[in-house]
Amino acid sequence: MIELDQVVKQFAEHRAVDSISLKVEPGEIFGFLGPNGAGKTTSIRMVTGILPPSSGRVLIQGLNIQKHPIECKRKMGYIPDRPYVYEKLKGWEFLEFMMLLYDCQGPAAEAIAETYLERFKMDFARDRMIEDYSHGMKQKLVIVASLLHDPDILVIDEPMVGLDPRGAKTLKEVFVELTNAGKTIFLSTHTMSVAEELCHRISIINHGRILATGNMKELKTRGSTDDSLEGIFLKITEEELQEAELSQNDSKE
Amino acid sequence: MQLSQLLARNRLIGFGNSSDSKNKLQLLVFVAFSVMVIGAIHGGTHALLNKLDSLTAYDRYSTVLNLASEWISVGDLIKERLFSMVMLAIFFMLLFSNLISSLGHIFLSQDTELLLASPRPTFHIFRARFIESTLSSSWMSLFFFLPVIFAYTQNYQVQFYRFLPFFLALLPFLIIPSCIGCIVSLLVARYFPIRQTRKIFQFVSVLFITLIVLLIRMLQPEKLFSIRDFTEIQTFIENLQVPFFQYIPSTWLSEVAIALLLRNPVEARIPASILFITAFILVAISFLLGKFLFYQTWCRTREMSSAPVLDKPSASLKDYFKWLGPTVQSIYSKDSILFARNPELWSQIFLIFAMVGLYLYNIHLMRLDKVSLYSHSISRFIAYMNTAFVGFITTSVSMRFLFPALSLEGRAFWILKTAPFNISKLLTYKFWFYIPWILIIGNTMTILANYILDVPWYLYLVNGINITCICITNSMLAICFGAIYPNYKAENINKIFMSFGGTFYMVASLAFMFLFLMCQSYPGILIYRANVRNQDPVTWQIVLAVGWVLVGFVIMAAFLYFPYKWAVKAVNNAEAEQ
Repeated sequence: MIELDQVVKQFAEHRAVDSISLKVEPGEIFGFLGPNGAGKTTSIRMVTGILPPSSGRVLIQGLNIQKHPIECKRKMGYIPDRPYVYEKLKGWEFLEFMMLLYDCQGPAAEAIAETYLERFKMDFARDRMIEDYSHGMKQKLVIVASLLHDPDILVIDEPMVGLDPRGAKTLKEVFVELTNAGKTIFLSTHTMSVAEELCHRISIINHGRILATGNMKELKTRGSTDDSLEGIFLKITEEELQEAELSQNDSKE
Repeated sequence: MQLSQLLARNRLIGFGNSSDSKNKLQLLVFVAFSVMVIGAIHGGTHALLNKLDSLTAYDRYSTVLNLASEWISVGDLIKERLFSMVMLAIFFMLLFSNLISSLGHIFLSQDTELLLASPRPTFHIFRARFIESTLSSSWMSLFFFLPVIFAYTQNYQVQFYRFLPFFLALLPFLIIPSCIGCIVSLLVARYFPIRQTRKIFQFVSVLFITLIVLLIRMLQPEKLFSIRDFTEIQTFIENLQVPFFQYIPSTWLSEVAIALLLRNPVEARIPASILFITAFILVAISFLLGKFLFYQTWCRTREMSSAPVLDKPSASLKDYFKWLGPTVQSIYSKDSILFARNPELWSQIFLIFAMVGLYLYNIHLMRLDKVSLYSHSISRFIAYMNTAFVGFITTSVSMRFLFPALSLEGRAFWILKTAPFNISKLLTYKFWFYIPWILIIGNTMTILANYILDVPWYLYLVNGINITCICITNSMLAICFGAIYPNYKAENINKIFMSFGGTFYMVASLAFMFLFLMCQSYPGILIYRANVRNQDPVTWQIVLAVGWVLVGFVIMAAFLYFPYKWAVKAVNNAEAEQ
């Protein structure tokens, strides 16, 4: 379970995340939608413990990540939007490194690695240098690496970037299987169809603030439209923009 | 497994992976080159120390006081002083490289985010970075230093095992500058934008090194070997016995080494203890600061914007290149703006000025000190050979500025690659952008050296033509080799030219200079004979001279044509990283 409680992130003059509160339950895929610069990646970095919040709390299965970082990170797998991989390592060597980093080396982790490499059609590249991988192959490798320690929570920033249709389909299947097994998935994406198809609940975020949260039905009600998620998203963000402009004009007057 | 071990394991595996394929030949050349350099340093030091052994001084006072010895040996004192000087230089090298390297390792490593997301304490990440930084900034100094040490142990005939405690004392000596670099980085990065800080550090370091080199040169260390410059031998000896700086680690390590070399290990205990205690205290301070500041400061570095150091030139620079047409204008104005905004690049200019200043100062000393020893012919020979030295300096400048020119396009190379112009022309654009500056440096140095050496007009002409040809060819070679061996992913400029391609370029340009100057020397000899000895050349000599000149130009054409052809192919085939 992930819980964000009044989380704020202030970068000098700029408030990137503004009092966000939300709860993601076990067995749930939670989508974070928003335009560029909305605060999605910053929120995700706070959830994973990479950045500390300026105020508020991030709880991972009830533990405050600021106070218990090691325990929280042990339970999490993280797939960043632009993952760094050691280019001079071979695919399998990188996975071995990740096993050691997460202290999960052994037959169980190796079996997970073998399984997911095969599912993502990456087994042919396990002994190739990563510098020879395409962007999508690197993304698949990082996905496999994030699953090695069998995390309870998976945090993903833009999961479909660079993936081919087969890879994207496999990833969706993996997400569903993981949530069926009681795992929590927190993902941010620009791809409306992915969010609509996969997520049990979605938050729409802009200018660091959550504009709406709920399942598709609740969002349709909130947006007063029967449109697709794309239509709801555009409507809600447009409304927020108009409100911001209005309040700006008011303050000028 | 500890995080530092894990990261070291990655490096070793990565190194093994790199060397097991296409890079095997490159590695072999690199190893051979390294062995040659180590051999040269060791051989040179060994020969110098042997020479110093025979150095004695006549002591007037011994004679006056009717003491037994009139000739006293000063070789040992000079060897000790020399050792301290080497240690001092290495300590400052370590200090500067640690300042830059610790900022890079601690705050700019690309895998920090991956490690921060893992269940490892942030202090362990800091500690791993500290170790990485210490190792990466120390190995190069050790590389140059170890052959010197071996030469000393051989000269003093000390069995190697008796000298082992020195290597123990070397450990704190390497750790101390690393701690200083680390502490400064942690404190500075808290308050300044990290990327700019690093560049400013690099600039300040280059400036400091320049000043130190100038200072050492102005102190004229050659006087150590020139006893006649001291009025009394006692003054000379006293001068040698006074340590430069008593409270710096290089002095302590020198004392340890000298005590061991003189088979007096008891004397080594106190300086060794001081080294260990200092290192221990500094490590404790670094780790304490790292524990409390590393994560906070790393987060801050993600929050700060990096305003360019020099922002002004952008508006006006592009107008200067308007007359060259839009394509060249866009490339030249971009290159100028990026150069002006990147202290990493322009700080190197100070090094060049220092080099030029030192060079001319040396020429000046050569003339003033040795004027009675050299005839005109030797002075002219020096002036001719000066072209090779100036060529070497311009080659070094080309290596720093022209060789990385294409690689510096970096991940933005795809913009040029997809732009509607012939990408192979980029080589000539870059060449014309830099060549005026290289020609100015080369010709100014040659003309000034000719003037100081007071050579006749024809040598001004011959040297002028030669240096112009060398500058043109070596600049083009730098651009071409930089294109054949690019590194678009390099995080800093040093990684670009300190590579196989950079070494290959140096070898090629030195080979060209040697061949070219050999060919051009015959006509020079004829002119010299005609002017000095009044021996007019006969017809066959003139034909031969013209022949040699032509051969020289054919060699120049070959060195321009073939690398250019390969470079055009390389640029056309280059994959644009994004």
